Amino acid sequence: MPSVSLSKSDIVAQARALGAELVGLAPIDRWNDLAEVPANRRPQAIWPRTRTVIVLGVPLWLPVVEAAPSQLGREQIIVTDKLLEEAAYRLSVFLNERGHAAINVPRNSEDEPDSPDEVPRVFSHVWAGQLAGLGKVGRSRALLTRGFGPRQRLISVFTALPLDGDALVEAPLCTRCGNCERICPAHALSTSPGQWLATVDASACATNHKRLRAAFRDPCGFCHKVCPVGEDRALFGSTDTQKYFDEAAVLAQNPFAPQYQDWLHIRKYGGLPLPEDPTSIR
Amino acid sequence: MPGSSQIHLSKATIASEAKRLGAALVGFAPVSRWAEHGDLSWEFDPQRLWPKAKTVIAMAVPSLLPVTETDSSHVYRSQYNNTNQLLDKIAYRLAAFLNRHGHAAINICRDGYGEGVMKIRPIAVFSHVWAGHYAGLGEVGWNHCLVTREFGPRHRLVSVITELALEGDPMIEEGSLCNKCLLCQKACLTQAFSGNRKKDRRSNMNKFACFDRRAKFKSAQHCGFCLKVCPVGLDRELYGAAKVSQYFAERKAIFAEDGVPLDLVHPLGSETSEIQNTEG
Repeated sequence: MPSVSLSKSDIVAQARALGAELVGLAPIDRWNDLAEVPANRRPQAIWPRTRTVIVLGVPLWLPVVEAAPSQLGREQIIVTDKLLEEAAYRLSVFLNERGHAAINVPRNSEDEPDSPDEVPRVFSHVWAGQLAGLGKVGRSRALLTRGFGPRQRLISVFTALPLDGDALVEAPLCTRCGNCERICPAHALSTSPGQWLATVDASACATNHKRLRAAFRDPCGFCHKVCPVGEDRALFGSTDTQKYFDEAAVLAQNPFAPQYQDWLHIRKYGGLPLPEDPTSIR
Repeated sequence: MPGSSQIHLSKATIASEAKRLGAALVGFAPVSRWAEHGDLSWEFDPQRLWPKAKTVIAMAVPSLLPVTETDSSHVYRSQYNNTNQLLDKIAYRLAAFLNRHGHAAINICRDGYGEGVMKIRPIAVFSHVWAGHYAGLGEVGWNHCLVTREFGPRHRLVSVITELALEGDPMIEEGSLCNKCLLCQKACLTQAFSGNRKKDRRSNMNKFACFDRRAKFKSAQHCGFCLKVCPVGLDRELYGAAKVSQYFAERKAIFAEDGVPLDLVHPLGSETSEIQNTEG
């Protein structure tokens, strides 16, 4: 195949045309000093010809995330993941057709708690996102972006084409507020003094997910909805994170408290009742 | 980025973006229409789902008639799944387009139920059918589907809800598309529709009867009789579609093949329980 010269902006434009809302590039040497990703999970260990990792992201809409656990939230994940998989595959083909070898790395290799005991975690799109300048990994170990906090899904394309990396986000973004740790219904996050990233009890998180999945209400996403970071909070007019902590007590007093009726409506339809959650069966 | 300031978007710009993404029909419904018309319980008002909602953008893609006619086939099932996936992608990307320009929006996904949940509680969080009705794409017909000028009831729908206030499209005048010919009622394998065409705007629909067809008919797992039989739609002309009598001959053959006595209950039989139409 003859090689066609492609600029970074051509590739970014193509990724956006395919539906990516966030696009960042990371040269592979950026993995060299990253202790969090072991050597056998770095791009060159997965595909030796890799020179650049292109990370794509699509946001999750806060009004759907904060209504979890709901069937609508589950559908949102299905739709965004399918879109990402297709965009990454097509971007790889776009590069290949122009003579630049590329492969897409599927989403399910993510170090996410969906089913950590079943799915081998090949590659972390989260750390790739940080190295591609999309954001910074926060306390909950999600990638936080300026635009959407932790509320986005990510995927990666590996290419043999050397390209300039995007500027890294220098600001920490994570405010250390601890909301993610406090809200977690599975108590899966814990942080010792001086520890920057929480320790994740993946099995506790997965157990909670399985419970929700059986009712068609996964993912949980509580650690995503409570995060105060993200310009989407102002866009969607939901900046008061205390509301999530007050919910149970307010609804116990008044099940018709108006400020929660949208979430209750979304939870009510489409999923199976959760026996231990009275708001799911109203 | 959501942090950037709002960029003006006209209705025409939004509609052309929706079409570029693959929508065949696009309509705009101000949320006030739900309360004004009162067809649904207040619980299904878009503002109940999202208090900032100002406009619902309804979009449709057609189900192609010759495929819809093969309603018990794998091809039909495949069309159903593919159109749903396409719609979900269109709606997500249109919401992203609006958010990117500083106008908050969310897409409401097509499939409103976990597997098996529809049999327990056949009510979805939001009705795309009524959204299409209020957005002027068509009118809710006797068979509780949105009957459109272009495709009759042969299409799939999805919705995007936005805080951006936009002028509503004119609604279809009542009775101008569905003239209550009752062919859908007569063709239905399970007598799911009933009612009095002189008094009722649309039938009572027994959704449970509709689901039960799977247990009753091995050869009608993915039924679409009430869709293909509808005489409304420019698509009939485009495809030079079959005469309606052919569908009734097919119906008779299905009863024979599955050993079910033909029309145990007369298609124009007794009233069935009224179930709110909030198709997912």
